[in-house]
Parts: sequence; C-alpha cells; structure tokens
Amino acid sequence: MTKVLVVDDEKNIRRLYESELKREGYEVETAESAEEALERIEDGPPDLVVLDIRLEGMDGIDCLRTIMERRRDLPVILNSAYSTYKQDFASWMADAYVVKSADLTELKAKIREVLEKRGRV
Amino acid sequence: MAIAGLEPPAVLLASVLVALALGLVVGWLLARDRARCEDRVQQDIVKSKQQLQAIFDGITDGLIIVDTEFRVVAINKAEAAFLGREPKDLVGLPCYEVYCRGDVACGACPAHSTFATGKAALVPQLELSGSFHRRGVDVYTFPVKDRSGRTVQAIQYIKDVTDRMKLQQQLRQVEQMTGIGQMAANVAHEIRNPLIAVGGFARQLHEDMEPDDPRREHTRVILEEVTRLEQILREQLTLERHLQPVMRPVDVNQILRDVRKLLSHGLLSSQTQLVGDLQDGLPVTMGDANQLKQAFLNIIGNAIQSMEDGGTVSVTSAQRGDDIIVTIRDDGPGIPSDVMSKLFVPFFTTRKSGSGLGLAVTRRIVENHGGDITAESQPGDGTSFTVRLPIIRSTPEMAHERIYGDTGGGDEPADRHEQTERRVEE
Repeated sequence: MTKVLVVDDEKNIRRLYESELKREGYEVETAESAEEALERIEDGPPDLVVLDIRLEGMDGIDCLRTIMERRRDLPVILNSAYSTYKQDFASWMADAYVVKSADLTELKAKIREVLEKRGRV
Repeated sequence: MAIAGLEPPAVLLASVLVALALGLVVGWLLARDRARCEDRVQQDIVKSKQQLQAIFDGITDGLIIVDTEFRVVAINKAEAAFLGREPKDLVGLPCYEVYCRGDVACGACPAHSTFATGKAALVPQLELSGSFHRRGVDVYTFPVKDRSGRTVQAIQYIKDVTDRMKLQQQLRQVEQMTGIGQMAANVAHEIRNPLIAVGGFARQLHEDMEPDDPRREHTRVILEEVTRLEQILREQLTLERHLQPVMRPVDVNQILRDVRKLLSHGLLSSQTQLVGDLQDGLPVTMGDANQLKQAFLNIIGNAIQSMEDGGTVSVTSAQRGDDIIVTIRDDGPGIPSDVMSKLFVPFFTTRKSGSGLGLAVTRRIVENHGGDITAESQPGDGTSFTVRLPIIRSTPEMAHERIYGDTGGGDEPADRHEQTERRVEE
C-alpha cells in the first residue's frame, strides 16, 4: 500500500489528514516534528511526504533540504498556511506547494498527481 | 531820558514798531515751522500706514481684523485670495457669513474667547473651506483695545497647517496599520490551524451523511462559514506578510483585460456595464501581474458592488510622463466624506460581509510597486479611483534576479526555476 508521511505540529491537523488520506486508500504515518519525520524516513521510507513549514525546532524548509540530501527521489509536498514561502528558493526543491485549507481537495489531487508522475502508485 | 536827536514819544513809537515787526516775523517763522512739522507728522503717519499695509498684505498667512460683531474691518491679500475675492469686497461683511455661510459667529472661533477675556487665544487644527480647496488651519486671535482697556477688535491670524495635518493623519493611519495589523496577524496565525481541523472534519461529516439527511443543512452552514473565515484570514495574511512583489515585465492593459474576464463570469449583471478605454502601445513595466490583478479586481469589484441599481464602470489607462495612470470611475451613489477618510484603513468596511481589507491590500500592493492610489467622490455623483504606477524598465540586474531569485542560491539551473514556478502558480 502506498505510504504517506504527514508532518505537522498540530495534533488535530495530523488527525484530520490521517483520517482523510486513509479514506483515499493510503497508509498514513504522522510525525509532529522535522526530527521525528527524518527518523521515520530512516526507519522505513514512505512513498511521499506532506510537510508543514512552520515547525518547532528544525523547520520544514531545512527538513526538506535534509531529505533531498539523503533521498533525492523521495517526493515532498510542502503544505503551509502561508503562500509566502513559495518565494523561498529552497521551496522549489519540493514537488509541489499547497496552501493549507480546510478543503483538502487540492492537497489530495496534488498527492495523486505527484505519485503518478513519480510512478509510485 | 533822551536818545540823541529824537524826542521821547518818537522813540517809544519806533520801539513799538520794531517789536511789532519782530513779533510778526517770529510768529510767521513759528507758524511755518509748525506747518512743516505737521506736514512731516502727516507724512510719517502715511508712511507707517503704508508700511503696516505692506506687512499686512505681505504676510502669506491669513490676517483679518474683526469688530465685536465679527464684521471684517480689514483682511489681507493672502486670505482674500484664498476666498477668491478682493480685500475691499470683504470689508464690512460678517466673517462667519464668508467662512461658515451661517447666521451666527462660528462656534469654534477663538475670537469669542478674546472678546470675553481680553486675552490672546488659539484654536488649533480647524478645517476651513475656501473657493478652491479646503485647508487645515491654526487660528490665533489677539485683542485690540481702546484707551479704556475695552477690547474693541480682534486680530485673527490664520496659519495654514494643511501639510502638517496631512502628515499627522498619515502617521495615524500607519500606526493603525501596524498596531492593529500586527495583532491581527498573530490572531490570524493562531486561528488558522484550528479552523482547518474544524472545517476538515465538518466536510467529512457532511460527505458521510445520506444526501437526504436534514443535518446536512447544518454541516453546509459550518463549511460555508469556515470558507468565509479562511478567506478573511488569507487576505489578512496577504496584508501582513511582507507581500514582496515578484517583478516581471507586465502589460497593464492585459492585466485589466484579465480582470474584466474574471468579472464577466460573476458580478456583472445586465444593468451593470464595464467599459474600457485602454491606450494603445502602453509601455511594458515591471510588476507582479497577480498582485496587480488583485489590486484592480478589488477596486473594480467595489465599484460594481456599489451600484446596486446598475450603472457603468469605466476603466481607462494612459501614459502620463513616466507613469501609467489607470482610472476607474463609476456612476454609483458616491462615498460620503466621513467614509472617504477611512477608505484605505484595514478592517474598515461599510458592507455587512466585507472584511475591510480589500482596499487596504490594494493600496499596499500599489505602494509596493512605487505608485499611489487616490479616490475622489461627490455623494450622488459617482466615485473615481486613480492608480499611478511609475514605469519601471527592466534592467540586466533585474533580469538576473528574475532567473536566480534574490535569495542567493545561484547554482540551481534556471529552467528548473521556471518549471517549478509554473507548477506553483497552477
């Protein structure tokens, strides 16, 4: 089963994403910090990472850089409440950038699109 | 006693005659002197009067002397010119008739206090309208007293402080922007995440319910309101995040045409028309097309919404010197003057469902492009907004910035940037 790792420091957002993505037929793992996410990726890499940017400790952009250094082939979708990080050069390394919203339609569509492009489904 | 050769009576007569002659001469001399003196005094008076008049008229601030009935005794040229009249036409008129078009002395005038107390008085920051424009003034009054010490006239000194008042007003607005804005940005950030969880799970519930479940109406309301809150927060964050425009060469006319296209799907009705007069061959300038689109969308959208009974919104673009000027004019009900001053203040709105951020965002965008925006309105006679955008020509440095970004990571290939950029904008 395709595995998605959701990284977000808000517990209820992790719950929502987990519930929604499971309905989409994915296996879902969650991490509440960048550090935890990197550990999980080491333990057993997912097929795609949904990564929040504003995190306690290491932020999402640094986390993205680390992932790119270690596993260039792992698709990452940045998911932030702010659209301004789009202008951050580093964010271009991600496969997509989705602004957070209560409506997950766009996020789900992007996950599907990226996985298809990367041949992971 | 006898003088040689003359009899005493003859001597007496001669003496009298000599004395008389002397008296006449001295008298004549004295009279001539007094006349000369008076003449000089007269001349001195005229001279100092002329000097005073010259000073009076030379002062560029307004000076008016009024009597206790507030009738103009004298008014200087500067003040008369502000009223669009000659000084001589104003003498004798009550000043309140000239300034306030009223029947009694204007309540705010410091001359009331000067007449009552015999002392100088000041009322700062009054607004006075003239024949051509309004101005902000500080009004000082000084007493003119007669011999018995009674105040019989007052000198009004009217100092134009329009520029200072404008600056203060701008400062207040900036303070409002930063103070409220900062707080609101923090609140917005704190609210955003919980709202996503609320809305997300509400959507799940909504979709899980049978289509004929009456509770779907309730979840629909939750979703609708969450969407509205999200929209407000998004606008708020746009306002407060630095909102740095990504400058590329843009065609302002094309942006206006895009806006028209966007509006033609929704807001425009059969009674509301949107007409354009776009100048051909407008020079390309550097700008953020998306942001400018948003800015014009806000203004034109507002104009359309202001005309509930229909009307025409006309959009014109033209080059004026080194600027591109875009004017948006509607023939709606116009904007009352008390609303006018708050037009660009964040969170100020006259609409029930408005966030009060549209025009604040618009102004921020235009200013980030080095331009400015002004509004003019006559209640009952429509409103026009004028956006001035300085023409910025692309430079080699800017082209470099466009390819490599300004964050310094220059080794990423340009094509990857372009590709990512496109994807992000999709």
